[in-house]
Amino acid sequence: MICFTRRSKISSAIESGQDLPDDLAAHLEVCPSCRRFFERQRDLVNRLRIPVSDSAQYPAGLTAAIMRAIQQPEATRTSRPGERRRISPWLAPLSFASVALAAALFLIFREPVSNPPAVADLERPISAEVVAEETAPADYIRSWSVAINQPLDTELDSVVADARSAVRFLAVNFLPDSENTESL
Amino acid sequence: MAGTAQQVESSEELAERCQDGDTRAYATLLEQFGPRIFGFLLNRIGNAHDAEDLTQEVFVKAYRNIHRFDTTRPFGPWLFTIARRTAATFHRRRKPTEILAEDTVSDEAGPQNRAESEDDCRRIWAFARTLRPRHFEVLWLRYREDFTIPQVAESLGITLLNTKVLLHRARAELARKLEAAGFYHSSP
Repeated sequence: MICFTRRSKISSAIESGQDLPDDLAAHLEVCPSCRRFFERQRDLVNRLRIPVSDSAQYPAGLTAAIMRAIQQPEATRTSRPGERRRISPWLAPLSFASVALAAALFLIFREPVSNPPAVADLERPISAEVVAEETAPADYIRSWSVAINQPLDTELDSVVADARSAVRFLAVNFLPDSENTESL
Repeated sequence: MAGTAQQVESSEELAERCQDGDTRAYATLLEQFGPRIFGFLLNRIGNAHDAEDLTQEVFVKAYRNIHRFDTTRPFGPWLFTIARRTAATFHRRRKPTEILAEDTVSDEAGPQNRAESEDDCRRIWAFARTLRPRHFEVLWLRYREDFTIPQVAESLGITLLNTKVLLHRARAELARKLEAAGFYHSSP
């Protein structure tokens, strides 16, 4: 056992107020360093346990001030210098930015307001013209198509072709039986 | 018997009454623990004015959270946990502005001073204040507050083994500082 370990045991024995075990007591007879450690630690613990009055007196009005403080509602409690709450300087800008962002998102993604259909309209059979009109691309898609100077059908065909080639790539590379990919 | 009716209530019983809204019970707790918390904070912070403010903060916090206190456990460690955390928050917010006027650490340890036992103890605690906060706290709770090891562990929020190790290291570090300052120079 090295002295470092023994000192830990010596410290525990002092702390618990027990006598040193025989092996440690024997070690202290031959190790001046550990003996000095033991004596100083024992002396230190004894001194630390002596009650000492504090140099500063307990403030006379503090008890009354605390009782007043706890009897006030939390919201109206007057803050003292030591208990003031700090408000982050970023709080106001962040709040404003959050509100602005929420408003912008609302304006961008809001659905156009439409009146709900009447019950009679729902019960009426839907004509083929109406179905064709509802399933046709919306006007804004057509306007995009014009804007990028590419016919819509061509654009859709190229998207489908891209998707198909992606699926084929995944099937060829990751499916165990690549023969089934021929139909793709 | 009137004598039994006047039995001194334990801190835990008083805390239980506080949970029922009895502010007089809290006043009694304040009388018991006010000077102890103030003394701890004064030594931990090093400034009487700040210690006074923080003592108030601790007791207001404790009162507002008294419903969280488990009355089957000792009240002292719970209160000192609040005090310790309040002091740590204070230290993060602001550096101490001044050190205690008395009890300041001096490397000059005259034999006549050491003859006075209480003066020696004051000097030892003055050196203890220069330790790391965790070391100072474990020494204070163990020796000034006379908490048991489990109570110290509860107050510091660490295990029993960790508390013993911390205590050992704190004492060893304190002894090194005292020795370096010549405290033991002319001791018998």
